[in-house]
Amino acid sequence: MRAVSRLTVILGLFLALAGLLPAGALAQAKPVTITFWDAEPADLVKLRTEILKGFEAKYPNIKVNYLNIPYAEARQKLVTAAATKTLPDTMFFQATWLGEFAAMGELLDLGPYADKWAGAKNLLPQVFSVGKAYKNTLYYLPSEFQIDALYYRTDWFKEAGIKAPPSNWAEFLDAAKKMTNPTKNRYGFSMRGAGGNERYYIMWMLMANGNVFFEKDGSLGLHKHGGMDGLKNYLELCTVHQVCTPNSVNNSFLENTAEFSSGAAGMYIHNQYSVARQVKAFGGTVEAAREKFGTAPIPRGPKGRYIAANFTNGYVMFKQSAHPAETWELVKWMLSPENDSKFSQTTGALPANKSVYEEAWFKNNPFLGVFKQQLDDPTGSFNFPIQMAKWNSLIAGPLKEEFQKGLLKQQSAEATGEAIAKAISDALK
Amino acid sequence: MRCHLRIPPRLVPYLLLAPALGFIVLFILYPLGLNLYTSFQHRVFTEPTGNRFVGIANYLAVAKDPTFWLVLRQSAVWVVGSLAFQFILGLALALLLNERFPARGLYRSLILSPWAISGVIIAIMWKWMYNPQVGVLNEILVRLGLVGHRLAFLADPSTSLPAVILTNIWRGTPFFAVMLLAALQAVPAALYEAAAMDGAGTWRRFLHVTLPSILPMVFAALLLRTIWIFNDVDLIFVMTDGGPVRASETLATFLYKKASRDLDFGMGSALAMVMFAILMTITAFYYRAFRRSDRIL
Repeated sequence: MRAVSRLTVILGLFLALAGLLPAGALAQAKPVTITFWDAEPADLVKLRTEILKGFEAKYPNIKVNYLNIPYAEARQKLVTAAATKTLPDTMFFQATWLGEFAAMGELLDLGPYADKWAGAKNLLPQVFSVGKAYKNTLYYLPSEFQIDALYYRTDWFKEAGIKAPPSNWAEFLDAAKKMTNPTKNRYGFSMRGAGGNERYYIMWMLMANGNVFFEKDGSLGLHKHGGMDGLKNYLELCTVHQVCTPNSVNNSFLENTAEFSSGAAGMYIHNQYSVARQVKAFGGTVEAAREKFGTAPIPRGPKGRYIAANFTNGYVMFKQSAHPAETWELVKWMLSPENDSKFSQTTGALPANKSVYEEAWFKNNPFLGVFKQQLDDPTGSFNFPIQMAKWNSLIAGPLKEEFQKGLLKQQSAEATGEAIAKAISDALK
Repeated sequence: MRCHLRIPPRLVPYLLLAPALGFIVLFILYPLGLNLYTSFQHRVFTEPTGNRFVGIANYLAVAKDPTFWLVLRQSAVWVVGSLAFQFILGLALALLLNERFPARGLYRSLILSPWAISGVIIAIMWKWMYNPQVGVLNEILVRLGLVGHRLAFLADPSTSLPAVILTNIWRGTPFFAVMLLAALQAVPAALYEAAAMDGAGTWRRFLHVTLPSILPMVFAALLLRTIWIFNDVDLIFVMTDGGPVRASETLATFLYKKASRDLDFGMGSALAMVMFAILMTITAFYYRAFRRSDRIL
């Protein structure tokens, strides 16, 4: 009995000391290898590698096996890895995958780790509100925010005698009409009708219904309280007023961006990733580009507010990880203000750390302020229901196709709204 | 040192075949068997506790799904439309390249270039070429006065599949050109001389000498391309993603989406078995037709 008690005391002391040991102790522990995946474009691999080298220098006993996967294959690879129990330790993850992988039981609850992390205080509150989307558990830590805003051609506006970017739907339609001239291959608006189209028509519906996606009882409220009017207004830009480019139904953001910079469209909606592309397209410098384009908040709906879709990418840890402590150190490293800033400056994403927004590169860029303004407005941004296990297949399937039917006039706006509402409601069951 | 291992002679063929058989079992029969097994299961990744045996429920769901019949019809259009023109143009090119003319060698090399490019690059290239705002095709059509306004080929449900088929024809024609050229070069010159001496003109020499001689290669090429085109997803995915509104969706892309996007592996496996059955039927048809033509020859 005395031997057991002594052992218990020693074990208890050891565990207490281990909890108090600084991170440096981890650096002196035995060597481990952790696996990290991301699906960034190839031009970001160099930056990622550089950041990982910094991590390995700080933690010489932790080796990181880094795998960059082409974006189009990333989810498929993740699904296969989940099936074969070969998931990495951590991944730079897309928010729309959260519901399905959390439902599969593959994600680790990061709450206990974040609670003990001093750096968490420097993160935006939106990191936690989005990260806890699935059953109020912190399965996900967003590290970058993509907020949508309106891009408009300042030179076209001057030509058309439009003094300021549109602040509401009526002004938006008026500006689009004034800039549309099919004989000159010029259209007022480049709409995104292909994959990802749900982001924009849902924004319009929420602007019309007062930002009600779910009712208090959990049922769908998107199509109620005026939401259908919002959808109709958005669809009619193309089907009635014909201010959209002819390829809109097949447009992804790449086509939107190209139509804008090539002089086919006077406005489009996208997140801040487009800023760098458009600056490059219009002269290569911020000063030259300001003569050609600007950014503005999304035009306000009938209830007097704008709603900007809030899309994120960030970090998860998988339950299959054999080294969660070391993996958590990597996640903290990636989310540190220094590395967060490096990434945001290169990618154009809005960072997760509050302090990064005070840096000169952000404050001095005239195009980025409007995105932060929308992110900060609690009534002006909206998080998609990424906690739904079927959200990813919804947006790739019926939510995309029903809207395309509406755009092609194969069904009315009302029928489109009803079909979309039915698809989401069925997925909630 | 002598080897005293005595292998009965009748077992030697099986031992020599064993590695190949092992490969077939491991990489063909086992995955096929597993797919067949999964097709009788309810297997949705986001419902890990819902896995269960459901018998032929997946097959019945496929048969009752109007989307399945739509994509099956579109798959037939996709295969027949691509194959017919690839073969006709490929044969024409092969006949041309079989003649003597200056720099023939250079043209024979250049003809392979579409085949050598990755399918994804071809799809991206053609997608931008078709774009009504910035694409070169519309620019040419408008400047030549052939169209009054720009055409959104990939955004129009009536033209999206034909547009992708055209891209596929461009990609696949070199395969037929090369295969049929090889077959043409193996035709003995003496046969043509004999036919000419008997008074056969160009068309009759083609019909009674050239075609019968290259028929085995024609069948092989047609069979291979039928299977490849039926299974192809890259062009459709990149150019239209099966849209707009499934107007360019085929069975292969539908299957991929069911399994990969909806994570419904039970249904995806059932669709895969249906595809397998269709392709086996087509293969059996080809072999029967080939054997018949072989007897005629």
